[in-house]
Amino acid sequence: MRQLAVYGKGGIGKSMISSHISFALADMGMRVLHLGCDPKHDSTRLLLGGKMPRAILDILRESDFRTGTMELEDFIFESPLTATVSGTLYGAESGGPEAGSGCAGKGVTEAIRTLTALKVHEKLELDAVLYDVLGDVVCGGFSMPIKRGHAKEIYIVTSGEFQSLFAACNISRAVARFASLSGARLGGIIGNLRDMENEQKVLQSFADRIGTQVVAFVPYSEKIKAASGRGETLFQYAPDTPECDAMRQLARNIVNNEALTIPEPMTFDELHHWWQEHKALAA
Amino acid sequence: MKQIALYGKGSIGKSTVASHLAYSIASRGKRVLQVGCDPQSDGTQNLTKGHVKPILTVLAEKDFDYEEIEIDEIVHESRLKFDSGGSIYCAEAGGPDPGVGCGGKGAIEAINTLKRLHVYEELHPDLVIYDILGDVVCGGFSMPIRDGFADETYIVTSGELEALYQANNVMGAVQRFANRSGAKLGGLIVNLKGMEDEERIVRDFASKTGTEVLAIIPFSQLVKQCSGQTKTVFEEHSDSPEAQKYTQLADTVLLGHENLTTPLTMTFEDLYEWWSGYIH
Repeated sequence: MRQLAVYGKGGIGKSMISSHISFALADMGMRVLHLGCDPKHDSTRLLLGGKMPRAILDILRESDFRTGTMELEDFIFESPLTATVSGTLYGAESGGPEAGSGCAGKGVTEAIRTLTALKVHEKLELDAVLYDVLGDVVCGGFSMPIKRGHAKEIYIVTSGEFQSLFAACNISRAVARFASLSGARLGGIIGNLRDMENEQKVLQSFADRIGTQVVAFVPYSEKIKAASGRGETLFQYAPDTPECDAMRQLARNIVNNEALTIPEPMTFDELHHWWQEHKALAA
Repeated sequence: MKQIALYGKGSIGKSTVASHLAYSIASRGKRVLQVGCDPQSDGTQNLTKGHVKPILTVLAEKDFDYEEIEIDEIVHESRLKFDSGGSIYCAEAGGPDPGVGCGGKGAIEAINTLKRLHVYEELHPDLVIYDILGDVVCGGFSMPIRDGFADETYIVTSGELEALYQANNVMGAVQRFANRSGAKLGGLIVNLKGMEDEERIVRDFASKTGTEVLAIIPFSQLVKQCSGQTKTVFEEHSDSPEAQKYTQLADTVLLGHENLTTPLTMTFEDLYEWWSGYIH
């Protein structure tokens, strides 16, 4: 079973990109579970026909955090898109804290605990599970998939903007930290282009610097925005476009990826220094 | 002493707003303390012109022994000088080591340390600004609201769904702790991202949540350029429309206004449905 995690800063397009990856994997005939690990619980929106399923954490709250009475159907939803692919596509959402209280990463921790307790991977005979994780605050909770070996291949979605690279840097540090403990490896960065000057160069240089590769560049596209606005992926909205081809290529590169590495991340000071050298390029 | 919290999602421009408020208010002869509570630790760089060592880092170096820490190790006076006699002090909370611990620990430890070292009494600031990452409104990042440090909470947002979602979460925290801590929402500060109908979106959002839009700040190349040189627009472009905008906002924040509220919130489903109505 392939165990993938896609991390990125909120708003960077990680859910949009990871939905395309999950769809493409199912399109190759795999049985895929797409688990949204963003408190906003809208990661699976594009796969579930614009709907947002109930979050695992919300269901757990009702049952006093007991998983004994839970059924798979309560929190795992088969995508209507399954009818259009040769594989099978499932979605679930971890959920997040109530505003102002508790731990932000609790949703992730509890979702993974629930999937394990209910033996979801075995019951659904999954070929792949993809964790789509918010990477703004790489605390103990949000790094759970990396730390405990639930995800073996970590991909980081980033643009060439500093904030986004800062998050990427943090995530690569978490991978490096837990690599020997959990076997997690960095699969590479996915460049989600924001239409900046020299953005591909900046991203390539960043990847080189931390000892990884750029898996693919996703072009800046109005079509992607339009598809997302309609609650669809490009595979439904505009399948015969260069943008959609880029997504197909991305998924193929992930499936065939053999360059899984332990990154050599930068410290904050090194990142700031590196950015000083590169920001002129990106201006 | 008045204390305000300024929340916003990462890269929305909350630190830019915070540093301009600090500058404008210090230029009136006031003493301002700005506390950056974003793990990225660069919220005060427009004011300090350099990297400030985060409180969490200093604490770790001293094995969390508060007796060993001097105020000037964690609070830095800005090199900016004001004829009016005002001054700006800066501190950065810091964040967790990637992959371990609590994301909001920096915010919690920073505020506790400032309190234990009697920084508020020593510096006697007129205004304290907590500039806080609003992406994840967990127990840690909501500390200024929860424990009554911030008299007023302001939210920096744009018309984008992500930003409004975060704003809605921060409002949820204010609502939740209003009775316990006396937290109040001051209003929204809007950094336009250039979306269609963006002003209408944020005004409608404000009326739906029972608050008001205090300022609408257009996207400005000048502000961006000044930030690139780690400066505020006040330093070399004090007559610019941008500077005037921030001065007006500082008036509102400093003098306070009548309409402090306990906000209403929306579920994400409702927020999404409402927001989608504006997107074509």
